[in-house]
Amino acid sequence: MSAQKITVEYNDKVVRQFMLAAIIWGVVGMLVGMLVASQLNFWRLNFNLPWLTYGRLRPLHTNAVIFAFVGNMMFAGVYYSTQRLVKARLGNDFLSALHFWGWQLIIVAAAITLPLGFSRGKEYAELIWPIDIAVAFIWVVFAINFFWTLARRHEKSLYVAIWFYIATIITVAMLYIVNHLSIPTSLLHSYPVFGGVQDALVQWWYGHNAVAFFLTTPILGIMYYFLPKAAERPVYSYRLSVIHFWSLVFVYIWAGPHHLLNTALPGWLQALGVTFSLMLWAPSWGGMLNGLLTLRGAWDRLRTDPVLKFFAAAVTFYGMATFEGPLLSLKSVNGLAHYTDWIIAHVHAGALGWNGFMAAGMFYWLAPRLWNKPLFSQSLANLHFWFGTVGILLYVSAMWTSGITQGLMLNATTEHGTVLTYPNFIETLNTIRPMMLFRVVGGGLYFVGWLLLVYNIYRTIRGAQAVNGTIEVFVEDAKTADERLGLGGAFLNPPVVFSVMGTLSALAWMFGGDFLKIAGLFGTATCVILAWVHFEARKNRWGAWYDRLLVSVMPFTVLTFIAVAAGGLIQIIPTALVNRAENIEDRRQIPYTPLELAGRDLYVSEGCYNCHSQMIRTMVPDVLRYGDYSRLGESIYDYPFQWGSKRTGPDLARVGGKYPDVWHYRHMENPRAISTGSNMPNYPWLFTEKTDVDALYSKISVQRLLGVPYPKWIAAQIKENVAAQEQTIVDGLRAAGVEPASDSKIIALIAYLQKMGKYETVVPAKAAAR
Amino acid sequence: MFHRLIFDDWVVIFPLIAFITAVSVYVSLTWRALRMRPAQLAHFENLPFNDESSPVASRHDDAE
Repeated sequence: MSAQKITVEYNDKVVRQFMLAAIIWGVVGMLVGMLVASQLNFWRLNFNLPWLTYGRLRPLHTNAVIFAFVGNMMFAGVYYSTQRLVKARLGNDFLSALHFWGWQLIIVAAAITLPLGFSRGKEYAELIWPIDIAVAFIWVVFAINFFWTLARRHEKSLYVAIWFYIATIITVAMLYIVNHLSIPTSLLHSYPVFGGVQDALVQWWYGHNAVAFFLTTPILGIMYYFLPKAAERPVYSYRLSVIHFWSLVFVYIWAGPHHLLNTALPGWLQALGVTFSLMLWAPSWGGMLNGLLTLRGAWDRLRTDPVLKFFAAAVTFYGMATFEGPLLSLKSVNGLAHYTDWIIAHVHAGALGWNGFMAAGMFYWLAPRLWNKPLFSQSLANLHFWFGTVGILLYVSAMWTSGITQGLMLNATTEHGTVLTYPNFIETLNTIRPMMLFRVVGGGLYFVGWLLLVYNIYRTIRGAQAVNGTIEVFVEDAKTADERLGLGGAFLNPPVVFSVMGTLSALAWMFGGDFLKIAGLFGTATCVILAWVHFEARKNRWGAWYDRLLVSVMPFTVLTFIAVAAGGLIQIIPTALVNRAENIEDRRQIPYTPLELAGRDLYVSEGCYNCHSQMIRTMVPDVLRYGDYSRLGESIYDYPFQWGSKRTGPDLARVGGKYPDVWHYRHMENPRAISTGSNMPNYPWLFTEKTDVDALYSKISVQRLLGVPYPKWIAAQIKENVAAQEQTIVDGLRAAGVEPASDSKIIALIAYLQKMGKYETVVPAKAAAR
Repeated sequence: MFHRLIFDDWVVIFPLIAFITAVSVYVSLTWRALRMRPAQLAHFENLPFNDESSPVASRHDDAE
């Protein structure tokens, strides 16, 4: 057999495109972040304009920094490193271009729709359904392009970074599709197929794993490639990277419920979230140590090399955030931290420290190589590092202080725990104002550092000639025996077969009835003995299977998918089966009237959930402050759920009936007229814009399809229902001395706010006992 | 004070199954990783290196 030497030219054009896009969107995302952070201290920065309110812009900030900034950075790093690790050009140039331009169009669409109030009301999943379809399509394009590249590879072994990219691609697809399953009511609006507690679980299964598989695993893959390259030494322990990968992708999926601790989420799910979040500490620190110890023997270079500075700091912040995360997942700590700025501190230590600094280090390393010109200024890059580090430390310490202050003050009781020490929510807000301002300063410093990067990269590439990397490879003329595994080989092999049969037997032994118990015991013993005998006799086959897995993309991908899907299935299926409206506690939500539903959709589109929660926890201070703790059945018809994750303002779960209609009227017009010192925006457009009553027919039809027990009203009946309720509210407001327009949005919103906390008492149903 | 009235005791097997599965996966993969041969490790560790020859000018990219 003869081998032919060919030269492969890598597609670095798309890498350059993604890199520059990331840098630009980083500026946009950080600017929006600074604006919304400033609005919390200076409410006037909402400018009385609907498209600039905190509630509409905060989702723009989160989507911009996650999907636009880190997304583009991730694609640049993945495409650069994958081509070189497999010694092949990207699968298809057209798909590469489609991926790039499609992703930018999605970002632009988000930037237009979110400020206009088109939102699904779920965090990091706010984009409306047409854009969701576009995201799924472009993700499939990315997947095809990536796997096509692997299929064409000239290096048969799959380096650990490739594993992380595979896990990212398939898991993000799974998460995104499931959490975005919706039924449209119009071109620009939909309701999710999950509601209440199911939606809460699915949302945070997605939300936490968006962090895991969008912000962590691809960047870890990037770390495993770029850190050794920059340090000019191999990774500290390849063995550790194997353990790190598998334990991380398996454990991470289960951590979602830690966003719902002390809520109405069933106890077994909360326990699952706590346990797995704690276990997650180990693989995360495995990765951190692997990264940091790669620099052993090269620590002196940190003094002068900004790339290594950024990478070392990024990995350190990753370690810090992944210690803090499990800590925050303890129910007792979470009782203090949930809904406070401590969570914001945690998020930004990871986002600014890990993601932002990995991006900076990667861009400073890539620019000279992609444009064949030395970096314009090492000093500016070093200066960027210090601005960024000081910025992060100021940001995070301000938010730690703020969060712990909030938690302590809002939970403080006196008189032997029977009375709140700080009964007025605004007292806590006023106390944390200086810390919120320090946060803006910290973020500002970080942003200045980023601008230094923009200038430095611009000066580097100005007038430079872009270059593409090449590699010379030998290609066999005749096909040699393929040592890769087929899909069947992935499953029909000794380790997998004995493991599955042994596990099934053990389950039968533990949980079966009389006959099954004995059969299970016998089966387990048989499997263990047979496996041991087979292993001793055919050791090579066991080892050979694993070795072949390391060079086989499809079986590897399928096994990774099973590892990540198992967690989702085991959490979501029981919740969907058990926690439905027919099987709830002693309270069930009364469905919203058409006007109240219109008001609820306003609450969602204005992004009120960004500051207000609707979930009173099973904690004495919550109950003292807001009323009886929230039952699972009280939000069972909420599509989407609005339990919330932050209390910049008070919880609203039982605000219905607490204040008269005119209180809400005046409060939405000018919150400071009611609550001195409030940082909530004014909402003047709610008093002039009309409620979209025509849309209600379609909305109620979809809600009925989703299981909400609405009668089969025709459009005229809905309008009549709306008009009657509107008139009642308007009459009350007129009697209180205001003159509202009867069909204005504020009437709908008041109707919704007054409904919150209303329920009917039902006989609790018991799930079948074992 | 905080009564939960859904009796879903049977679902507690799920955390148990999950934990046992996670431990099994972790132990078996740790064993596999510890059994990797030095030559294999050296091969994988060095994959990021020797992955590029001399770069060439990018065609049609003069505007970049």
